[in-house]
Amino acid sequence: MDYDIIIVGSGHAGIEAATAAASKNHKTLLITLNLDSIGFLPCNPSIGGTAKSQLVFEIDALGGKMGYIADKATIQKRMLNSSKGPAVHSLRAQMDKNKYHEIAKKELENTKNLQIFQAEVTEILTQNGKVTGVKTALGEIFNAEAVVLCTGVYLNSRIIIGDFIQNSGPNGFMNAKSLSASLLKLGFEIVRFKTGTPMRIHKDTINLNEFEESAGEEDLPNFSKQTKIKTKNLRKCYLGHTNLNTHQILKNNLSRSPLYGGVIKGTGPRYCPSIEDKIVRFADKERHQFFLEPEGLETQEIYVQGLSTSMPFDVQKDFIHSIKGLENAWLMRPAYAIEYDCINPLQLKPSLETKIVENLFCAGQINGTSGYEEAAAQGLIAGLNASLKIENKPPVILQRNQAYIGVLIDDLVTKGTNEPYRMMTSRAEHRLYLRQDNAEQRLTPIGYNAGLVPKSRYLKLKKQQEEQQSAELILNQILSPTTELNQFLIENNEALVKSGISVRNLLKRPNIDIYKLNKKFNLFKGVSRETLQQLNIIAKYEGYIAIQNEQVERAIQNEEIKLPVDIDYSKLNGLRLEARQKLNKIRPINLGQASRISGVSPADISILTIYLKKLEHQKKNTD
Amino acid sequence: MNTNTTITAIATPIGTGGIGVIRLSGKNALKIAQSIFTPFNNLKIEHKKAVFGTVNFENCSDNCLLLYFKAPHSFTGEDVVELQMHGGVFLLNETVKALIKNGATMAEPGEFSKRAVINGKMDITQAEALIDMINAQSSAEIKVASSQMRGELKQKLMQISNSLLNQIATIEVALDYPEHEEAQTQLNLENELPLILEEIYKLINTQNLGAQIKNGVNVALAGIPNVGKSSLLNALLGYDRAIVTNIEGTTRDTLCESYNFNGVRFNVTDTAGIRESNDEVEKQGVMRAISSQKEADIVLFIIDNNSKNSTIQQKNNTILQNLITNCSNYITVLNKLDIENNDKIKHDIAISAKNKTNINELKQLIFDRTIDKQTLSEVNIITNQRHSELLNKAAECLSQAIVDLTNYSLDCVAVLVKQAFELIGQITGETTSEDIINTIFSKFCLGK
Repeated sequence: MDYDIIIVGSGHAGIEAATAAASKNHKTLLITLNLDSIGFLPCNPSIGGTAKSQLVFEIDALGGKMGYIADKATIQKRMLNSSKGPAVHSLRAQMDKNKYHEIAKKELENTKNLQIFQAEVTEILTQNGKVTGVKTALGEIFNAEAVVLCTGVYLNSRIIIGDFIQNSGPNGFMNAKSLSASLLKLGFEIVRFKTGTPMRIHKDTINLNEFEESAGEEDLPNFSKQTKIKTKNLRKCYLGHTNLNTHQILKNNLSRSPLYGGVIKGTGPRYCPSIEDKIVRFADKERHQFFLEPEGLETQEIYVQGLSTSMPFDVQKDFIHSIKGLENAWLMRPAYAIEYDCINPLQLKPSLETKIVENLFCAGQINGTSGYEEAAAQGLIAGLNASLKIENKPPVILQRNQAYIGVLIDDLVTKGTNEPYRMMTSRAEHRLYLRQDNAEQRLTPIGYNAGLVPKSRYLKLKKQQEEQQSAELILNQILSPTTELNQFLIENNEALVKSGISVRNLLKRPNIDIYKLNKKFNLFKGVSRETLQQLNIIAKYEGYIAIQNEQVERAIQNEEIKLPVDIDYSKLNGLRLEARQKLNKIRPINLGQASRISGVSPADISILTIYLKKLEHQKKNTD
Repeated sequence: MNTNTTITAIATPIGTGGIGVIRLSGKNALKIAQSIFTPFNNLKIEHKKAVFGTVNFENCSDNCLLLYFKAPHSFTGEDVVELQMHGGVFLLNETVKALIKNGATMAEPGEFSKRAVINGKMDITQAEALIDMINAQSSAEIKVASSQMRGELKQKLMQISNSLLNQIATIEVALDYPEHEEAQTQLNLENELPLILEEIYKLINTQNLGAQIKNGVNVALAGIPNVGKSSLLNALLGYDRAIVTNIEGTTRDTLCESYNFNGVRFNVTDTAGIRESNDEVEKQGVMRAISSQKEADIVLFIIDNNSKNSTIQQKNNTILQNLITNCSNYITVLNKLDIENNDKIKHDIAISAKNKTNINELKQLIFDRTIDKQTLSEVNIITNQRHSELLNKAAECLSQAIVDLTNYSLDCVAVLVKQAFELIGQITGETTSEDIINTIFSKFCLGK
């Protein structure tokens, strides 16, 4: 065997998969179409944001690389949703794109057990339904025990700008022409998705006075616990709006839109529509907002977030010039739509191994997702589970109440997706618990047991948890109704107390937090700021977390009801036809998974329940 | 569930009515029915047509009407046969036995409805309403039950559910798109949530009436012995149910019978007259009398012309004091109008149970004092205990959410609004969990 594990692709999924496999001491080969595309950010120059930030913290807690690389390439940082509660606090950092690529490449080049190589993989080699290696366009064959496909948007991709269509990967990179055919031949169902990116404008041609400044915030945490440096806010972003004139230009040219002209056949994401899509679907809106974001420190290129389009280039120039402040904008790169092949994720197991070919794993956009963070999260899990598979160990499957990564993968492999899948906090039913601040507590022990997190980091976490446990006792301490306490309450606009009150109940008050309280009364001597933060959240939100835990437990009940592997759903009376087909196709392992399949209604679930009862009853009678 | 079997059961209540119906459901329904049923004149059995004939098996024989509904156009969605026969318990039981001998299986409790739900003929609220419909004993009850069957309650609940869903969506968008200007400005929970809560409260407020409609209004009779309570019971029912003598203590146990008035069922409990007694049986009866008065929706306090007598007056006063402390609602009824005019004694209505004078007026008074007529005209009345519990819980969640809007962050408020949504969903079956299914199906009565 040449290699233990081969990773195809060097985007955000490929980076995590390769480093995870290599760190588990497997001889790993990463093959990419172009070494200059390692860790490339082909769309927005930022990492994080709602739900995505939580993913990055989770990746880091499991020993992944994304947070670490992002911290090093950060040029501006904000904490989104800071007024809306800790569960939705989301870090979002602007990246220096070139720097991100360079750090990622350096990281791979210096990883032990990992070789990186530029080539086009054209074929997946298998024997008896099991993967044996890959073949490249130059005819080279690499054998391996397991293969992880992280091919991004490169499969049979084509770029569309008006009536201009070119077979190409993003940003002029070469695409992968033969791999889709190989997958199709192996029996995979291929679907076609579409996404797009806006134009880039030269900064000196923008009148920034016409835009609202959006500066970075100071004293924010890093994504990664490994990062020792403090990031700096070196660049600003700007908010602007389209106007009726802009919309008129787009409307006048709708017939030239490949999206409405029927040229684009792939399904695009609802949450990230192009500007022509926005003005058609929300025709009554007088303006749409957009952001101007820097692409890096050493470049004047500005990314126009919110104005992605596939309109012809002359229309792009016209509608951009209709916007106040952009009258003289110089478009350095056109906006474009990109169509690409991916597999139907229902063909994956929760470990991200394919159901069709053993030891073949898939991660990232090939699974129908969108976004750097979603890709990286899957890459880490696929690389880890490919390693565990060849070690003959059970896979790591994160549950929906353990991590956003668990939600992401469970959604993909049980519900599938009919548009590029983006992570959102509303997809996580255990949102109050799945926070960025406790990602390490939730996942680092799992990462350590799986061999991805070094022991030193695990022990450090243990120490912090011990500190937290003993400090938690202080929450029960009763404070007497002294003049000093009541003075403090008046200062913070809170009602006075006549009898003793516990620290815990004091912290439940909206205007009191642990930092103020500690500053005044010095209750938590020597306790770290991190622990204080955890205690503050625990005291304030324990009631709500309890409600959610109840919901969690109710949900787990259904997870524990196993569905026999040999049920022929097509013969199950009472199930609606759509449910029969979906259930036969997905073959859920338990009732919980079955209930989340779109097209399976609560009535279908009750029929399954009744059927299982009957089986149980029959079994009891025969025993 | 094994839906390959053909099930059977008696579909009408046991022991009442001149006609008894036996129902069969399953793919062999017709074949099994034909094994005991012969049509007159070789009439052809057709979908949705009644065929007259005889059933014959072992030593039994009876004239019978057979109704055939071909799948899927039947109550259960399967082939259904109904045999309408004479209502004797023995004959019906023997017929069911004969059908079982010929290949049918005895239906489990609620199995007909289960099959209807499985075959998509009924949703869960409709199925629950069906149990109520079967048990319906008065027209008001049927009105409520049948409006639920038509899905009107479900529609109302769906409205509430949709409003909640809209608010959840607004919250979620605000949380997931913090930089989107519109997503932030559309949040108006301070105004929107109270409106939804009000709708839920409207439904909750119908639940007392709902319980009355479903279970009937409980009317208890109270008074010293031999004041004519049993005669009044007979007068209210319109037939002699209680033994009437002029011997004190004739009624020893409590009797409960029902009459209908303006479409509402009234359950009248005749209790032992309240007096000191050494007789163990009668003592027990007096105890039960006091407790039934406590549970009643209304108590008729019966006095007669003897009430001017001072010892009796004293006894009556004791009863009255007891009523004032324990019962919120009572009517003082002066009986024995036929003997003497007793205008001087304080009372709400004067009657003669013996001559049936003013009985209808009394019934009207009871109706007026117990039934909220405005609510009665509402279509959506909550009669089901489970619905009422879930609505109350949902209201609780939503009230808390409104309070917490000012104290807690949006991610927390979202949890409560979602909880309320799930609770409403549990009524309509939209978020059905295994527990609900179990509860619902265990409540089904045999046959349907």
